[in-house]
Amino acid sequence: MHYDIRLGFLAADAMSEFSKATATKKKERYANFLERSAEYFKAVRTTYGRPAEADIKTNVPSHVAEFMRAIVSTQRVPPGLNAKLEAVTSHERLVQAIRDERRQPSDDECLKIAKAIYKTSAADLA
Amino acid sequence: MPETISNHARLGAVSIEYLVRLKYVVGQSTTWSRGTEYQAIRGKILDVCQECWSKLFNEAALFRRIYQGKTLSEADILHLRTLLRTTSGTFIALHELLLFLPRESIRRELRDYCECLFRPEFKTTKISLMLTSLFAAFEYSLDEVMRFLEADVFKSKVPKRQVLPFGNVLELAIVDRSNPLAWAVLAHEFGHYLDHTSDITKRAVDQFVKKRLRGKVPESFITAWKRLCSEIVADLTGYYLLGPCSILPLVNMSLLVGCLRDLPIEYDREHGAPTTRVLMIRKLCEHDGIDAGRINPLLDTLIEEETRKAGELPQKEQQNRTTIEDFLTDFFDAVRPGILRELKARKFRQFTARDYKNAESLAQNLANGLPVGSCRSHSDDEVREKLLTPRGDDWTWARKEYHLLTEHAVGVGEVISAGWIDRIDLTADLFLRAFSEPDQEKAFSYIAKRLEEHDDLILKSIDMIPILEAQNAP
Repeated sequence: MHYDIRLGFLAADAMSEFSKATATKKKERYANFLERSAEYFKAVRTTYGRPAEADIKTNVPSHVAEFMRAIVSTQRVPPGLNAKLEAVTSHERLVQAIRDERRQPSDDECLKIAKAIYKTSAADLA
Repeated sequence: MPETISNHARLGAVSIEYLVRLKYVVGQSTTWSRGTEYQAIRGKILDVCQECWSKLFNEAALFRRIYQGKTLSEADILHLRTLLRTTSGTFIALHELLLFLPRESIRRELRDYCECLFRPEFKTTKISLMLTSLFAAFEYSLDEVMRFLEADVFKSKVPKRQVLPFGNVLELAIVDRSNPLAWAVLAHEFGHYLDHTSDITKRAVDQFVKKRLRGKVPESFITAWKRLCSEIVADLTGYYLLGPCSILPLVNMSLLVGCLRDLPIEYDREHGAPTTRVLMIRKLCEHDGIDAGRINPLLDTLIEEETRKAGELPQKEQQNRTTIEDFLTDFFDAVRPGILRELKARKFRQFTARDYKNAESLAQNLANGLPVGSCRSHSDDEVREKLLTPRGDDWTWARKEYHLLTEHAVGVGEVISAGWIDRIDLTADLFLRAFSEPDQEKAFSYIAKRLEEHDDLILKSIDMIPILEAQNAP
């Protein structure tokens, strides 16, 4: 079992803002919640994001591409990681869309984002 | 103060207690790890603990509501669960760093505890007591640790106990050095030692295969049942010596690890799921007439947490869990009488319903700040009646009645049970007061101090037992 303390702290910070936003219904609290959520999702994605076949550009020299493919094929993906990354990516997009529209998230959206943070902050099983 | 507190409150208490203990233990270690390389590790552990504690204390209002028994919203619950996940994860990850620091040896009281509880079969020359990693702490012999770590040398060659007679260890997590309630886990590990040295499992499984299955079973299944049965022997030994509180360190650890996962803890091909093991302990209590109501809040928290998670599994997986639990309990019922017969034949002091009742009374003494390692043979009323009955003006007769005040040693199982009962009772008060402190330093010190005082009372109680036993020996 693996647990990343730094990601855990970011998740806790985001949830703290979620709790304050739902309790006070204040605009700046919602903005803080979205900001913290975005930070958390980005941190998860960059921590777990691994190179994939698709990341190997066509213009790299063939021996480099071969080497990169070898790296991709040897990486071990913990069970549930793909689902975690999918959830993070889709909710990161949702947060970004709300921020781009410069609006306050609905209660449902807040709950959905908070649940995704909680779910994706679980430890990785070996 | 609410009479009962919620599962969330219990869950919070477990995670927060571990974090506070860790920070406290590391903070205390300055005297024996002065080197700069150690200071760097210690400093890092303390910084991270502090950051985690700050995050918890920032939500003091939420915790006050929890320990006041107020209803939580869905948002509160998600917030709380994330905080506890962070706390448990921080504790578990940091605890393993303690392995890089010099550590103290075990406490003298731990040896007294083992000698009192496991006699006549505890020999310090044959079993080592060690402080170690959180996960290795749940192993019982060096070869089991190696197997757990998948060390290559043991993959192909498992040492025979005749060749490696020094392999028996009883391991305790470093953080639990001065936490005697956590020592209850050693009764389970001692059960493994007994089994390892006298083949209780082998006889129980042979009997099971012969009687129930008439011998027609592939060897691979027998091996699997032996692993499972070995855990049942260990659980039964724990229960036989310590009563139902023997399961509580496992319950606490399962709650702690459970905070980190959304899936329930499963049967791992050796240990039954924690919920199954609690079920087995409850069966034993029912059979022996032990009403373990005072420790039920903790057991119920684990059952409810795991049941909630299991309920979210696909139907097929839920069915598998039920099938496995049914088989395990059936297997447990089949092998239990033979194993208990073997334990009874060994002259251990068996923990009884009377001991549990006594532990409930002793818990009240602990709550009043008194150690509980000894008690008088005669009740206060009895002594008062004899001493206050007029017998003329010559009071020299009173000297003859001094023996009424003689104290005898309490069983170590009763002390540990009393400690658990009192600890469970004081949870709401401890955390409500802590989270009502004006700042995070005071709140931390409050919890650390009360835990230390509680530990000290139980350590003092254990300390008294061998002294009184020696004094009253024929």
